[in-house]
Amino acid sequence: MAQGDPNVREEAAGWLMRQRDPVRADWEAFTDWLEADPAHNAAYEAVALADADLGDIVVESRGAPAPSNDDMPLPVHRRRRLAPLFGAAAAVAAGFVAYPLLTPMAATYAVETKAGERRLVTLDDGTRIEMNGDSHLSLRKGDNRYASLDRGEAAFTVVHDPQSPFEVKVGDAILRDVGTVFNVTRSGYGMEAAVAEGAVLYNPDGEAVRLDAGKVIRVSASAVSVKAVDPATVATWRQGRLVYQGASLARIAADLSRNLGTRVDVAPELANEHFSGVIMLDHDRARLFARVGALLDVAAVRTGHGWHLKPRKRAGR
Amino acid sequence: MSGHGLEAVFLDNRTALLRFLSARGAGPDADDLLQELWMKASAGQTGPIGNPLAYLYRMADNLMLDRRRGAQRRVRRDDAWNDLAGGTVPGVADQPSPERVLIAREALRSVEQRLAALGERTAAIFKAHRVEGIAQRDIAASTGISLSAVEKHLQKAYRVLVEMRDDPDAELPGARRHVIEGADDGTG
Repeated sequence: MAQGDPNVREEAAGWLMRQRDPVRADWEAFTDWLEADPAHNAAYEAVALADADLGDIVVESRGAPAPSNDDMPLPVHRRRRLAPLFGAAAAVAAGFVAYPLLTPMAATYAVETKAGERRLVTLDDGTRIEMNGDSHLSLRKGDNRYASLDRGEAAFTVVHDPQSPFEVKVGDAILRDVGTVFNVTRSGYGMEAAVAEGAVLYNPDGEAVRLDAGKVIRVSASAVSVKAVDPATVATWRQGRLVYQGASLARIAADLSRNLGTRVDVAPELANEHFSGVIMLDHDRARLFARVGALLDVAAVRTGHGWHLKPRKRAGR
Repeated sequence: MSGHGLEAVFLDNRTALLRFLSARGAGPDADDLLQELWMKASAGQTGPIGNPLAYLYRMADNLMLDRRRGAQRRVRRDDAWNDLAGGTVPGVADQPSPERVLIAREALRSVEQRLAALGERTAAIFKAHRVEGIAQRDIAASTGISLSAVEKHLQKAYRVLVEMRDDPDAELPGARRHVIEGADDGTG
């Protein structure tokens, strides 16, 4: 009954927000609140479920990764000064209108690449950020210790300063370097950070998971996992090599789109197939896709928009 | 060394975690769920964790939410949306079909309309937080309002979301989870 009580609902929403904020989360106080009245858990669950459903809808609405050379209209407000805050996800959240209310943070500026484009950003202290295609980075003028990866993929080679560690913001998560080369990917499905050298702290003020070289963390709306990865294979896209261990074809198609600037999609029945191995990128697209087809055991056909991966005839899949 | 620290924290806080799971609605399954929590936590973790207790609590909360969503999906099996989601393999971020993208965009649009009725500022703050993943304190800093004021706006928005979900006529289909736990995707 109290679940329908507007006050309880607001309290529940407040808990949802605070418990997701590593700095403010207080699990004992939250337990006390839940125990005070069974209706509290029901109200919390109602908010958490609505929130989780919305999260799924947001992800679904983004659809396949959209290289910037396809015919999706550019987000209208990319021209506005809001870009550092709203530019990245604008095309993506097609249903939402951007309101010109949030003024940008003082000295934030954006660096963006088109699909297929690469870009090296060197900060004043020598820290290097290599951006893959279809990526969006927010930086602060006069602040060499901060970057926000809003979309796409980037490899960070950080000049370490123990007094002032470098931090990468990826949505709500923070990665703090401990003397490092690491690669970060952000998409609608979540975040992935792989460490090639040194170490990184994930959410230093919260869970504070330490990731040493050879570790990869994957974070989605509902799950966090840490796995081993060969450090030599981290961020090899910089050398034109995509290295996989049991990766889904959907993910490989997204990586190819980002790296090539050509839309690559995969037939739904193949999306969950897995591949382990190395794809060498090649400027000759016909040659590249002939090889991709052979490696992945699929038919790669040219379409009006790019390339489509589908099952081979009589391949017995 | 790494697994050891987490295990010690788990053992020291068994009672508190059990209490939390019960309070979160685990009922008679609380003991089993605590076991499941430990299996997941020990399998997923390979490096030292700075705040293991927060990590375990967070995982327990997600466990209860996933359980609840799973039960709900079984109830709504006739829902076409969930049929589409049926083939999802854990660990795979599969690309949604164009139809599903359209349905989701439609749902997002109706959420947006409902939020717009709360006022532009509330809608913008909610979008910044929930759609674009901007942290609340960053929103507070960029809008020049206090953190608790940001929280108030978000609470208003969540109230509407819950109402939409409770209202069977509202278009807010329960979509599936994208679970990456236990996946072994490459890193490109």
